[in-house]
Amino acid sequence: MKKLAIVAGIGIAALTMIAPHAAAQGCAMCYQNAAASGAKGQEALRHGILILLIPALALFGGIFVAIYRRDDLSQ
Amino acid sequence: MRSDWTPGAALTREPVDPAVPQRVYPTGMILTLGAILMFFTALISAWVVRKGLSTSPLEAPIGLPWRLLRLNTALLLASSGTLEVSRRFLRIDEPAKFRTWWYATTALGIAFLIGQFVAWRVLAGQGIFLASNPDASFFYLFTGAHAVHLIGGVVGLLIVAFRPLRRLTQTTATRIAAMYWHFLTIIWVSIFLLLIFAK
Repeated sequence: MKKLAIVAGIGIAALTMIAPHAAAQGCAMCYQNAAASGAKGQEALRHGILILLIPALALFGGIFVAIYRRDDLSQ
Repeated sequence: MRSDWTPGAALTREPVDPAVPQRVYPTGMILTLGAILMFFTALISAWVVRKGLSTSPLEAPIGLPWRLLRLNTALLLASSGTLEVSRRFLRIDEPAKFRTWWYATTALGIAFLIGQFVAWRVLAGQGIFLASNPDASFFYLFTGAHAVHLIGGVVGLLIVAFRPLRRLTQTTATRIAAMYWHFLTIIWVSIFLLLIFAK
């Protein structure tokens, strides 16, 4: 079960790696707005995205770590 | 209300209704804290972006009542400390001291809330209101959102102290109350440090 989960995780990660165009997509209006906001504005947007990303990823990862560790108890 | 109920002595060693295992409650609290964390993260992210996009000289940073905010921060940090002292007295089975320190925590929390309200009044006295400037808006938003959560925390502390709990043991109730309280302290200290950093 754990092996399957690891293989599936690596598979999904690999799939996202071979689709680089997906990383830069967004709606045209948001793109134009961001492009028009100047270097300072773009940096602010980048920081804003990172601030949102880090705790979200930490929570996401934390939940899976918790599930993974709980899993041992049931055996 | 149970017949054996007396104020401040409401907690029980064993849950009246043991249908739900006690470890469920900390898990639920962790998930709740995750949601609250994302709420405050979203506000901070919006603030950073808004500051970065600001070009108008009218949007200069506002002068905050720093001394008062430092005092409030100290009060909240002290309340986290008294809460831990209280829990230690619970562990070594000294209910009277546990209750005294628990009340001290509640009082410090209320003092913090009053201090934050005074900070609002000071700002309003300077003619700085919610819509004056983005910095002012975010300051009111941060402090207001945090205060609302902390009011919930104070209510939680009072419930643990004064109401009989049917499903939670004393240990669980104090543990999840402490988790919530320390989390709010951390959130406030983070916001305060960000405000200092952005000064």
